[in-house]
Amino acid sequence: MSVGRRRRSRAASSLASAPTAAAVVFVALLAAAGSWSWWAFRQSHIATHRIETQHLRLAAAANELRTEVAGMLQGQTSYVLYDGEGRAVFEAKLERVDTALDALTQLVDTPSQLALLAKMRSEVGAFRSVDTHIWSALQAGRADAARSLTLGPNALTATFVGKDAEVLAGQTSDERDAALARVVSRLRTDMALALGFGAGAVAGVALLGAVTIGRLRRRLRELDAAGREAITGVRSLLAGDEPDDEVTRASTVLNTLVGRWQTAQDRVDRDRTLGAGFDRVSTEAEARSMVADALRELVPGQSVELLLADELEPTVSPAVVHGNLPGGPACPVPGLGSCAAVREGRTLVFSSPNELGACPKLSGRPYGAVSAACVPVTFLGRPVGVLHVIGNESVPPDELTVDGLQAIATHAGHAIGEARADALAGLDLDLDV
Amino acid sequence: MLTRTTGHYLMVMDILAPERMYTHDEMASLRPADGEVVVRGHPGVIDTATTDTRHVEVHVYGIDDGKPVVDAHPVMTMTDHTGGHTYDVDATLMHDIVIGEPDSHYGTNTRLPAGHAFTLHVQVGDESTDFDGVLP
Repeated sequence: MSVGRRRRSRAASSLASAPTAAAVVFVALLAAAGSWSWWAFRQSHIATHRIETQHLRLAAAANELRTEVAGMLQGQTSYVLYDGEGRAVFEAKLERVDTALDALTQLVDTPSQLALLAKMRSEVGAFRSVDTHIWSALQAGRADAARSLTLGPNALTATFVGKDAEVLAGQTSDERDAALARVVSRLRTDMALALGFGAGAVAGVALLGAVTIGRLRRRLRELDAAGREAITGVRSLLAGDEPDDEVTRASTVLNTLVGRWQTAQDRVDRDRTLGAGFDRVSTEAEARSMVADALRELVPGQSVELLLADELEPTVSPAVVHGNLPGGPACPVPGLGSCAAVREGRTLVFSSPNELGACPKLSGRPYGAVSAACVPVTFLGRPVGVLHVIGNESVPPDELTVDGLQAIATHAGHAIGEARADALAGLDLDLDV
Repeated sequence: MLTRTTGHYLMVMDILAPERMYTHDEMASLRPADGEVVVRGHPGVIDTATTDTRHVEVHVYGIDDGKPVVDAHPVMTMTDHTGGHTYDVDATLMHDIVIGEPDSHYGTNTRLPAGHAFTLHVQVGDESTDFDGVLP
């Protein structure tokens, strides 16, 4: 039983642990998918914020440069128109253009942005170079030349710088849109993967649930079948079928328990019936008749005899004979003192006269080798007879039959003893009279 | 954009993305919104098979009056040091469609790959100068 319990425990454990482990895995996958989604959203949020911030900073710096370049050209035009007055203001504005260019340098990072920045620096350099000619012309009194250079090359140069700054700001917007599109694309990919992952995990959980439910249903059906078999399957237990799986073992255990319960119940019922029957007898003849009836019911197809010793004679003689042999088993034992079962004071069962330790009285029977059971019949501890049943060789009476024979012997011994005591008491009364 | 000075001229050289160059007839028929108007010379074509085409232009201003010089006949020679060859660049006179004559300059569309070191030699009359650089 302990081995069976361990096996059942392992079987139950495997039934429960596999889905549990798989469920843990699937839940972990779901959690991973959720974490993945959260991480993707978080990363996209960070990337979007960074891109927007970078774009705003670059656009602001580019616009700042455009403003400063316009101011630079205005400052140059002003000092040229007023014969050099305000030159210092212009130079300050030129410094601010350089500062704006430096600020842009800190923000640009793509090759195209760097190329544009280099171009703008060269344009501002050209502007500064032309300005030296303008300043020289102005100082030389050639105001017309200074004005032409201001309105000509430097106006064009400033325009170029402004346009390039505008291109840079626009390029920044394009690059921002492209970067945001990449972020969205990446987010979509991550979300699709995470959703696929999660959907797979959910499907796995559903599949696992279906499989588990299916297993449980199958087990329940098996247990139900085993229960039905246990209720009606005492015969299979008695036939000694070898259990080949846990369910069969379980049913065997149930069969055993039910069988034992049934046997015990049968004993109680039989004892009650026998007790009630023997209580109603008042004479030895009635007791013998009762024994015959009980044997007919207990071993209907077998040959059985009740050998009783007379109070006054040590020999035994058949008091009840029942079965397919006209003379009964016809045990040749001459008296109770020669009966092994009576001497040992217990029931003896033999499979064959040829087995080791078999009763010698069982050998040499005219009907051949048989199995047998010998049950002493006693009254108040004193032997009064023996109940003797025979059967096919190697097929001795089973435990239930032997138990029934013992019950009959007990009740018979008591009834016959009481009847004989009553008879003796009546005889004494008669003698007294 | 680079500037150079000779005896009588202030020259401002720039290399830009290729520009569409239109004749007066094309201007009348196509009415483009941007590009260059050819005043004298031949429009430079844009080779769409390559991304190496650039618009090379040189503004020439008189130092004395600061005005664009439009009656010169510059000779422009490009030396591609990286590519290892030298070739003439058409000095087509043109100006921006929007800005107009104040933008008068010389040049054309020509092939000059990015990253190449170059020298553009410009000669106006008996005065000349070199513009050296590396194309970004």
